Amino acid sequence: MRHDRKVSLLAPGGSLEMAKASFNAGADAVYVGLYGWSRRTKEYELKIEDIAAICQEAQVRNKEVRVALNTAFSSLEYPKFRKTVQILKDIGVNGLIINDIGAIGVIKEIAPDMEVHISAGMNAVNIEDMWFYRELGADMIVMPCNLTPEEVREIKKHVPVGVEVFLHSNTCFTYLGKCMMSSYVKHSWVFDEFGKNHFHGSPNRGGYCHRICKANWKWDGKKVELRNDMFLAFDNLEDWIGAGVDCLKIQGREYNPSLIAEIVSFYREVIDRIVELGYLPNKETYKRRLEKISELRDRERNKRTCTVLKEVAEEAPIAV
Amino acid sequence: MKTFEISTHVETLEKLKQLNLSSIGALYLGDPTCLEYQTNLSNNLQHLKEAIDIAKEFGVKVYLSTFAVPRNRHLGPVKKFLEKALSLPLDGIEVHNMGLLRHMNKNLNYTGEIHVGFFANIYTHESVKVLEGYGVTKVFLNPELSLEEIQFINENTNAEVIIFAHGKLPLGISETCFIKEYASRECRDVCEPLVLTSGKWKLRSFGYATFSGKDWATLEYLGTLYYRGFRTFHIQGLRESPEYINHIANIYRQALENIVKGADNYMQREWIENITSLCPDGICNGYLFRRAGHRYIGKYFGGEALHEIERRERHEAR
Repeated sequence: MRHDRKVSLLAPGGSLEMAKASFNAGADAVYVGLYGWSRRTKEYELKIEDIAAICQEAQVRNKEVRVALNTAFSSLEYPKFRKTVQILKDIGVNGLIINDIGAIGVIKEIAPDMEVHISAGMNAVNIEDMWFYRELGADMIVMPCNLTPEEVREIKKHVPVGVEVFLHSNTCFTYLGKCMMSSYVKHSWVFDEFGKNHFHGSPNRGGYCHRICKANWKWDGKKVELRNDMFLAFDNLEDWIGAGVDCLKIQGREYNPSLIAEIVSFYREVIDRIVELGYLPNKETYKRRLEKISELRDRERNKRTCTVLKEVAEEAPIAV
Repeated sequence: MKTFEISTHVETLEKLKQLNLSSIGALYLGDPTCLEYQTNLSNNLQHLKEAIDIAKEFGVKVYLSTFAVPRNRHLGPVKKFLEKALSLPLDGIEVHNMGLLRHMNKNLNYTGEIHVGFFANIYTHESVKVLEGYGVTKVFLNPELSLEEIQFINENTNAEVIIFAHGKLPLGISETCFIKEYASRECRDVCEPLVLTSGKWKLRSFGYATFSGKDWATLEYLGTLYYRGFRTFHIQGLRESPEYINHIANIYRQALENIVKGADNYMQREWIENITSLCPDGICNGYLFRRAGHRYIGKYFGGEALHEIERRERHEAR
């Protein structure tokens, strides 16, 4: 069945170059992380002036920019957070992705027209959760990868809130945002030149995860794996779109801009076909294309996993 | 004004019967990490009723603990159970899930105490203020917070912060049961945790939840915490033996009594030995002092004093 509504494609903007590549490849919006405030390390976060440049690019093209402020920052950083929201409003950011219940009201007070997106790290997993965040002022809720199209369909049937789903991601061993294995093993407070704490080693607070779940674990002398599956919405993308998903998100601020452009272009085509026709013709051909892209993406991800685990192993005896 | 209160979680009626309740002021009845075993007090009305009667006989407050991550499919049964449980003489409910919090407050107009549990991921005073609007009176904060952050929240909100005083740290909760994946079992009763090892690291899998190998301990800092205004101290009792809970709660109660009396040195050497033998995988408290959770900072349990660590780190930075 043909879909008579828009499904927006959200792509990463790990740099100005990546944001431009994402727009060129067909993204409706990009998300960027503000230096020190997003769930990624500082190499993939941007300073205000870079975000302002991306906003200008977006305005010219009639596209949108969302900024991830989705770390679990400190109570002591709230004055800084308030100032940041004001600045982001002034430079024309369209939405903020957040991870603290208290932040919703603060954003609505400073920037009433700013869209509030609930990060997947806030782990909204049921209809009552959706109502909770909706009533506090959330416009869009990013679903954890664990949810199914059926669950989203039920949510969309009952709760008037936008729903965003990852297209291509990895499900963590735990529910996203509910893991402290990394900071339990290695963690330090590191302040940047703006006085923002990067909470090194805490994925919740600073975005740097040592991926402890990917180390070699044993139980009773036998090797065991802590589940860390790949999540690929492609396999049942018709169901996701049919369930009423409003936004599909590509992860990967840490990847190469050319790889991101390839992924965006691929999904733009796929989404448009599904919205137009209600199904994806020649699915096997698309699947083969995606397999090649996934291989490149996984290679980059694995390289990174090895790096962050070795960092831990240097300090603490963990089996890598 | 109350002097102090020690609380703990207890999953089953059988375990509750073996607890010495003289040191415990409040009980969280039920296991928020798993809904699958039949003896879980979060899921068994008959056992819950009996457990409440026992606790009340000893003058202990009782809070029903609810499932931490209910999906749509869990909501129906959990809500139904809650409605029935509310007819029992509970002092309150513990919720970890914001949807269930909203349900208690908006749909059921619940006027008893609501406490927010440690899987709720509460990091800031602004979040606690929002929770207060939903009737929350006490909160467990995320253990990653430092002492100064915890104090700031306690001083800038009306809800009371519960100190995670002792026990294995909750490090995560998953969608699937790790134990069932690797060791086939029928879930009639609460299961023994699996010990996962990697090099020298240990974690404990409770099935859906993963807890630390080491025990978090604040005994050495109880005086500081008390004088900074904290009054409720929690012993993490999930999947621990009754003997463990009885001993630990007894030590913390004696320590707090000494502190309330104004004793200069409230610590006793034998407590350190007892705790060391009850927690063979080690002791930790690192998050309180802005460090990795597994570290122990202090003069006991083989720890290192904070000023020594800071001096070394300054030296290394140069």
